[in-house]
Amino acid sequence: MNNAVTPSFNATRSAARTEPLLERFFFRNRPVVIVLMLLATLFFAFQASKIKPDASFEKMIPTFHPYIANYLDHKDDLQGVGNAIRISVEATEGDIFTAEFQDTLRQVHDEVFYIPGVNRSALKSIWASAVRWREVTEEGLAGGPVIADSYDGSPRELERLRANVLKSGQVGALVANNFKSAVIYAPLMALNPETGEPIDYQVFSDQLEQLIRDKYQTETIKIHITGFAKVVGDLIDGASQVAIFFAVALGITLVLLYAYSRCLRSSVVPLVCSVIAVIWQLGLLKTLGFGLDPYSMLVPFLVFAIGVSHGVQIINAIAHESATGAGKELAARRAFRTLYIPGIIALVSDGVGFATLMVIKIEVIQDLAVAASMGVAVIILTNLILLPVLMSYTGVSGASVRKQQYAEEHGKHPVWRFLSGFTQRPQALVLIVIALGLSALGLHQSQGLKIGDLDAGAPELRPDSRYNLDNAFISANYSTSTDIFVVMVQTPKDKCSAYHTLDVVDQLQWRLQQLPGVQSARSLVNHTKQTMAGFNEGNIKWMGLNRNQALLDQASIRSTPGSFNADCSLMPVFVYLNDHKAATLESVVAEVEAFAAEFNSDSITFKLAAGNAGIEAATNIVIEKAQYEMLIWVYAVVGLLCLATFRSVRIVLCILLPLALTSLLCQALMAKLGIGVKVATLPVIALGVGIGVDYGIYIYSKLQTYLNEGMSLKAAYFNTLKTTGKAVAFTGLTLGIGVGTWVLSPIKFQADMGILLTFMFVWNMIGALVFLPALASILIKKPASNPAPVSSSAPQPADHQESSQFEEQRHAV
Amino acid sequence: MKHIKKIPTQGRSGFKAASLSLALLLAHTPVMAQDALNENAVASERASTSLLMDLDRVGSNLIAVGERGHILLSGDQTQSWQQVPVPVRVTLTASYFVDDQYGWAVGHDGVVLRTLDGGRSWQKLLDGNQANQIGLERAKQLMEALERRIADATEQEQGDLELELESLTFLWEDAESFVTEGPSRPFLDLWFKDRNEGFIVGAFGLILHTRDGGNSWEAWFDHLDNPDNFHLNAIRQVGDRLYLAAEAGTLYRSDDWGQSWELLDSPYEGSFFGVVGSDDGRVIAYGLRGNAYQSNDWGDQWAALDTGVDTGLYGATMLDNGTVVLVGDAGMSVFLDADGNRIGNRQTRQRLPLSSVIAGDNKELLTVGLTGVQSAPLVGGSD
Repeated sequence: MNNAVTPSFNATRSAARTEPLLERFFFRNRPVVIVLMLLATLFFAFQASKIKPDASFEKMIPTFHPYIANYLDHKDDLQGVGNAIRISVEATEGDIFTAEFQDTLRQVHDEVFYIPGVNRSALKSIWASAVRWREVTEEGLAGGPVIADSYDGSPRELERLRANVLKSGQVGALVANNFKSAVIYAPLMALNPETGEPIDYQVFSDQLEQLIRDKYQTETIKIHITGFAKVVGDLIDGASQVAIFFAVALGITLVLLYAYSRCLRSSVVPLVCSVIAVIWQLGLLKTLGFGLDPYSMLVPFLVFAIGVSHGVQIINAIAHESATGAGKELAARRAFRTLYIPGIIALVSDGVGFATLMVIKIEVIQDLAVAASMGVAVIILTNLILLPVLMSYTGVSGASVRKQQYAEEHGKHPVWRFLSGFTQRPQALVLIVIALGLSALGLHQSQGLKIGDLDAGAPELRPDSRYNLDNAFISANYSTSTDIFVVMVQTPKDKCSAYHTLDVVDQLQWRLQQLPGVQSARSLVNHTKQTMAGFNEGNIKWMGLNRNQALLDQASIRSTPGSFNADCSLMPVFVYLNDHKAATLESVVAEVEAFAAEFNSDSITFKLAAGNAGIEAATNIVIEKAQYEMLIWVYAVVGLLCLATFRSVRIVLCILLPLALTSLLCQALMAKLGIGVKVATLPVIALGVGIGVDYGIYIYSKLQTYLNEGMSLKAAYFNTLKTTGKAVAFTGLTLGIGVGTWVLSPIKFQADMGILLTFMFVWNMIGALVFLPALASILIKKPASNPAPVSSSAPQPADHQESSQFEEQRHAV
Repeated sequence: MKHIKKIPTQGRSGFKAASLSLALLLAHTPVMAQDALNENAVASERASTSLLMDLDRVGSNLIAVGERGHILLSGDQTQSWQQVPVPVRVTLTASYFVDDQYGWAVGHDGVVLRTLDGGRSWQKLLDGNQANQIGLERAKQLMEALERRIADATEQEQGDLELELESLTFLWEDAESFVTEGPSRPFLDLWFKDRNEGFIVGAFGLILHTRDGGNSWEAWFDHLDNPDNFHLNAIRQVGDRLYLAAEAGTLYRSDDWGQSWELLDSPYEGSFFGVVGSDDGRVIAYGLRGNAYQSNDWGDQWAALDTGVDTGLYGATMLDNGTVVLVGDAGMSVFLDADGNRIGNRQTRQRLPLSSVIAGDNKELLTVGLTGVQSAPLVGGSD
């Protein structure tokens, strides 16, 4: 970091006085700066054009967490437990026992088989030869594939198929309870075996649409598809509309900027610079080998927003300087001179704040941290340097300057005057009391904040989205839940079917089945009990664990593939849940942990957790811990940077306390709106702090400048509001409106983010404009007794005009 | 049917071979401290909807026994169930009450329980280890007695007795291997004449007799001709006779309350899972693959019945009007009129096996099975 960034303002002011090094460097080489930046922009634009949406199952999960580590350790032993899709083929008329329907089902089955990324050996439907029926005859157990070798679609064979389905135990699993649809269950591999690359979910999802839904859906056949791959595919499809929302936000910002500045040039230039920042950020991501995750789609917008926020400060300062009569270049230089330090501090705070998201060991969040940090780093170049350099050529329009002059000389500023009243004791105290009240309210409401998913299906998508309708169809017509929590039971080699193992696992299953959120728990134990009955002519009274070990071993050999691993040392217990809500997952985790504590020994170990619900449980645990850890880190880092800058704990409190109120209220809002804290939503509060701290830093540094001039707090604040404050208010409102349009997004996740970010843009702005001065009046005891080092700040010619103007203001107040 | 791959059932011979090989590995496996035979059944809200095997009346109450040592009482015709404490958590297969106080329940691992208070509390009388010991002692006794007889016998007699001894030796070896193997043989059914005398029957020819309400037991295998140790699946009283339904089409009848058993001519080679009948000599035996046979002369002659199902039948009851209801695999019920003609079939929504059936007080059928207790109106059963 440059030395010029950290010293206190007292020192920097004196440095600023003598045309700082950075200013000289950039403004004396303006054409070079512009050309270099243009070249960089072209390069990054080229790179950005190649960026691809990218999402992987593994990135969404906390791979370091012991549960996930257990899962990854045993992944090869747990075929088809992880990421899978379900395709339900529905006969809208009649049932599935028609030759036409079976023909379609077979074609879909074969089609899915050949989609790259599908784990072909684990693909299941009644058309898979591994799916069998079984019955007891006088001679013993009989069985065969559900679709007989002799199947030819004749009425006789269809009748046999119906009988086989009934004997296969697949009703409710691969065949709907009402026999009007059938499922093709396709576990996915992490890597595409043809390319060796991770599976591209967008491509995969598109293939499902084109090769399955578009091809086979007719008036009599309906296709329903669920699974993580489909959620991500739909998210990416929906997220590509983010471009439209981006354009809308761009338009709104432009119109409002023009309304604000009355100058096309100073409206377009900051927008262009902010867009350049986005281009650089995307280009950098691609250059560094990152993709664009659907959950980080909001980062480019965030970069744009922060860019605009800083851009507005710069053009506001330039307009102000121009109003005092400075020429194009001088105005730009002076704006740069006054703003580059608080700007850099603010942006570094943002960047470091975002970077603290790295403490959450979930790759997708870490990627977001990198993307967001790089984005704000880039803004330092584009909006703090390129923007004033460009403005030094274009200048502000005469109309704008006149408006600014009129405002500064004749403006009554009723709002600013009212706001500056908050620096006075009674009002300040009232505000503090209000803030405390809001804190209490926020604290109370945020108790309701939940971790994880709160709704069934895919909460990222709208409840009436096709995906969620498909998901609802499958849950309504099938008995087997799609929310599966897997407990891994480890034993010494060849002991998975030992009586002791099965007996203890049976007890675990029974305990789990007592939990309200658990539908059923199944494992080798269930297969063994059934096979025991099978060995004894189907007699139901034998349906229990027998102590004859040889029988148990034989039974295990007959159980379905995947009931235990190759050397019989690992047995998965599948716990089918009603949903994957956080409370449900917590209850399962608690029960299994308690059971493991009681029963773990040399001969048996219970390990958490696999299955989509098991992974989500681990993710929830990490997130619950991380949400506070993350806030502590963000506030600590931002606080330290502010402390290094302002050298006063009280000032740091003035800046951070309003932000903390925003964070708290945002949590309350999330609780109120039923938005759970999960991988997708966790970063939003940290991002909010990043956005908000800019406002505080700009306002306080300007305020301090005036205070150091010797003004009273009220006068200093009034002047701050007229310049910086105006820009802050404008920025907060503009960006709030821009993000607010996301509420219309087809993706619920984006709509939720829109609401939360709008809230934080606006409320951070209010916090900085209203609560910061009130806090200052309480915390900063005697601003006058902490005078600027007057001796060392003998007015330089360049500053003279400014100082005299402040004197006028002071008299005016 | 060429696609069907026949898998032989795990017969007795495989069982024995396995147990002999195990005998070398594990001498006496001590029952571990944490064991289903000496841990209490876990109380559970879900007990009434999980696997239940048998359903009985005790006074004005209903009682159901099943998996994991579950015993449930209902005083309101299955509307609500109350689980009672049980000192084991093994699967219970059957219960029998002689009055509204005295009852017994049997189950896996050779467990026998008794209640003296209408099913509210239970004590363990016997487990499989003890049952095995009783069997072994009896085999030993018989062998010793026979050896004495051989010693005293004439040379001519000795030849026949040697043959008898040979078959008794097989029995004795079996009894030894059961002891080695531990409590692996379930009891499958029971019947009591009164508060004192009764029989319990089960896997691999298990049959024990008590004269003191279960305080002591004697092996009874030598009272019936079961050289292959077939499973004794059910014991039932019809009129003043007792019937045993057993593996491989075996049926026994006793006219002297179980003192001696007569092997009946069986109409079927597959297993029978139960017998139901009435005072007038009508007896229905039912079993594997929907097979049921009716006799109108106490079991001397049998005629096949059309049940309309090809899945196993595990439980049956006869209603006052002579209608017989059979229940079994895949949730199937079979309704037969007083002459044995099929009235209709019904299948439960879940299509999961049913184990036992009785008539309720209000013209409904009460069944138990894999999904617990179910109640269905008696009328309306049809194809």
